[in-house]
Amino acid sequence: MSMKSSATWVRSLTGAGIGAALLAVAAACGAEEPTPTALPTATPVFFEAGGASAAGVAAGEAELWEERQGGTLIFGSAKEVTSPHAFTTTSSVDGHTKESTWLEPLIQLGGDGNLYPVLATSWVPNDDFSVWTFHLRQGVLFHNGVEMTSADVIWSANYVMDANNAARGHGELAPLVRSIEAVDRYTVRFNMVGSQSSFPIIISDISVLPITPVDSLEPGEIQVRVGAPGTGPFKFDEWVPASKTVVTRFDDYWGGKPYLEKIVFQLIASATGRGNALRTREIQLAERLTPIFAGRVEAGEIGAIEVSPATRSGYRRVIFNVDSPIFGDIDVRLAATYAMDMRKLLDEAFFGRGALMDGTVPPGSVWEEVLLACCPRREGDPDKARALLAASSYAGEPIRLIVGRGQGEPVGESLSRQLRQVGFNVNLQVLESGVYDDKQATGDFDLSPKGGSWGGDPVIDASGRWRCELTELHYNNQTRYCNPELDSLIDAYYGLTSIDDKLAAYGVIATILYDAVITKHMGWNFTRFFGWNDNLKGFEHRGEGGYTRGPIGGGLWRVYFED
Amino acid sequence: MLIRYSIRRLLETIPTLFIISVIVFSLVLLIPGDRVLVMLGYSGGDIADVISKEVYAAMEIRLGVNDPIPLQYVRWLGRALQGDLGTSPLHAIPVMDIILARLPATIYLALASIILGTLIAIPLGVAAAVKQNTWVDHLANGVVLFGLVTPGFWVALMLVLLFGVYLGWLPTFGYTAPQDDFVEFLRHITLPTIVLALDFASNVIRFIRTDFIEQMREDYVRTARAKGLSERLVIWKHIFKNSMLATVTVLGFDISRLMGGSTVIESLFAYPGISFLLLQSIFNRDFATVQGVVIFIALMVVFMNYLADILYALLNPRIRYE
Repeated sequence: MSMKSSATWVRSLTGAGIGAALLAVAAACGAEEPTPTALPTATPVFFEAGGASAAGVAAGEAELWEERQGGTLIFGSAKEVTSPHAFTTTSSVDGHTKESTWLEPLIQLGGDGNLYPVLATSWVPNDDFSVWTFHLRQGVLFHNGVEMTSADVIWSANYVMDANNAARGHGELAPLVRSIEAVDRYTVRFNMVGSQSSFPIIISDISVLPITPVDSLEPGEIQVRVGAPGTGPFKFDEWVPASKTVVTRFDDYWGGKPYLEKIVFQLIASATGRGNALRTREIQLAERLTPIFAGRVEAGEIGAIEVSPATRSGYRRVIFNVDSPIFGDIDVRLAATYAMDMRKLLDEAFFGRGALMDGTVPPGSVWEEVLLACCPRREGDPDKARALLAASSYAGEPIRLIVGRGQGEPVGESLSRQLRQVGFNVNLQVLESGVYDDKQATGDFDLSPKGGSWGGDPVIDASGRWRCELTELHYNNQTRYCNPELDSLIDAYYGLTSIDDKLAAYGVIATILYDAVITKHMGWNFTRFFGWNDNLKGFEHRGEGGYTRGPIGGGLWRVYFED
Repeated sequence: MLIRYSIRRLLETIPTLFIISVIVFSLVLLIPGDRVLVMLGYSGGDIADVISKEVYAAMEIRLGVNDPIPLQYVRWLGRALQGDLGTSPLHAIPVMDIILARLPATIYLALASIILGTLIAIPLGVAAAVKQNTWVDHLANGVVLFGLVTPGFWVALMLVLLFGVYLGWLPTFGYTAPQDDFVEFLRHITLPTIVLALDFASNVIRFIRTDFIEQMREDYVRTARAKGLSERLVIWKHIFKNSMLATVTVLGFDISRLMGGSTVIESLFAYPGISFLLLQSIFNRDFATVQGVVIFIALMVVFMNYLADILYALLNPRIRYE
């Protein structure tokens, strides 16, 4: 690949929204220290980070701030911040809330798929990606007024890596990092276990490595009522379990003062309740509004409200339990795969809102290109399904199709009908979430719809689902699929240092999974909507259901009320 | 005699409480789901989490989930007797603190509903009995029927739409503590109070009316009237006092129900009481909190029934001597 074609390709990735994993093979720089784009080869390379950094205050910003500042935003949340503990994240909402307000990672994944500098301005690997050096942003203050330095990053990472602290990011970080050391006050070196070219993308997840001050938590401390100081645009203020979390403006935020005085994340569990409260303007912004509500807004039946779908908030697929007597036979799995028409499922269960995809990757990305090239979609084909079923070992045994109560019910009904049409005997079980999880964990099922999420790299995402060792940890690999060759490829992937190699490896891995027929993908369903009052300006989201974080632009950091 | 009776009744609650504690502890253990995973933030359906064996094992030890169940029960009961209901695996703070923080909101809502419900139920129940088969009686029956056959959540939604969305008079969710802003407190509590009071009143009206009609046929009422007492005195001094015996029992049950049973209403109004907490804890599989809230509600029910018994004995001295 020539330098020119590579640069063009990188730009196309940025546009396509998938560059994060690719950027992870190289170092990235913030706008403060622009670095030329170069070839993604086996040697350390540098890509220009997508978008602008928020560091510094733009000209005219002071006047703008005076004009826009003030006000309390009440945000209607579907779920609560279950604990203000910096290193515990129990739900996506929990993570989004912390990340959008008081905690920040070193780098983060943007909605466009690129990695962006946050507390680190650049990150550089050595020749074989066994060492990553992070240059920290200088002058960043924690909410307690103390400047962030290397010591804080090292303390935070070590806290995560100590199993006794039961930190959320331990599973991701501990196997990859051998040690961490300070090069100087603003430079940290991560010594990796072997080559780890994807390390930046892994720590871009706030739940893996948030940065808090040295000794902000006692070893093993879990009883936390007050959030540890972070570096985000808002300071932690109050947390009421199962009710609300309050944050206030941090005037010394390194990216510039936020406009809002205060944000109250108010738990309103009922989607109808959130919609009503938005209409009455008791809240100004709400998440997870229903397609029905959004449809009424779009049709003009409800005025003065704007809505926007979270297009990457809900990935849906159906998994086979390959350990079960029925679906242990790949021919039966194949028959079921052709029996399922995912367009029908999207129409019947998700109001037709969504995008069909054959992997947990964003539409239009180069990952999708690889996927389409290697693994042609298995469209619903009842005749083919019947023929395959007739030739298989299936003898009419009941299939345990388990779904969770709520959104799983229409999915179960649609799948059940489709499978019955080709001759499967379906035993649909609609279960409470605890029972549903338990049955998946214990393998007491044959077929089950599951979710998924885009973490910026489909192979790293997959590593959390398909490894043999994870079949022992029942909560990780619930298909029970085990293929040592696949494990080796995933292990090797972490050490790949060129984009071409990564894409090629992804193609091989995707083909293995495709041939094994352990999953039938549906794709993304757009059934979660954000809604906000029309006098609220500056809100942006990345499409995954969270709220765009400060440094990337927009988001809660730059939300303001228009008079 | 009343003191002896009270002590005897109090001692009788101990086996009840013991049985309740065993049932609550056992039932929560039977709920599917893994406490360790909950604590580790495993969300089951949507995220391909990687949870390491080491972290899982460390959390198992911390939560003591591998200890023998009888030992877990004895430990839990011992702590519960000292007011420690354990630590919420989800919120990582003591369950008792979470309950106590939300208790005032529930008490205010229960009290407001009882007061409003009683203010509706007693006059309407008495009037329906005294003016049998008149429009007052039909109105009372209408209220009772409406309250009994209409689901509370539907009434709540209609009230929210009418008074919140269309008229904009009252807030649709939340709670303000009275000490923070009394007017806002009243505004926030009004709609959930109306819903619960309607349900409460429809229950109580039936009992008052039926009991009142029975009492009106008693000999002592005829005697009172024969003595030439005014109808007002007969109704309020003689019949009302005697009809309260059955009503107190109903009130005792209903108050207990209101203290712990307004889950749907608290949820609909995002009202931060203990019922909403219970529902959230069930959804989040926060076992310790579920256990704590259920045992707390059970205690409230036992206590309210105990109070009703004492009140019953006060109203009817024969009870004390039996």
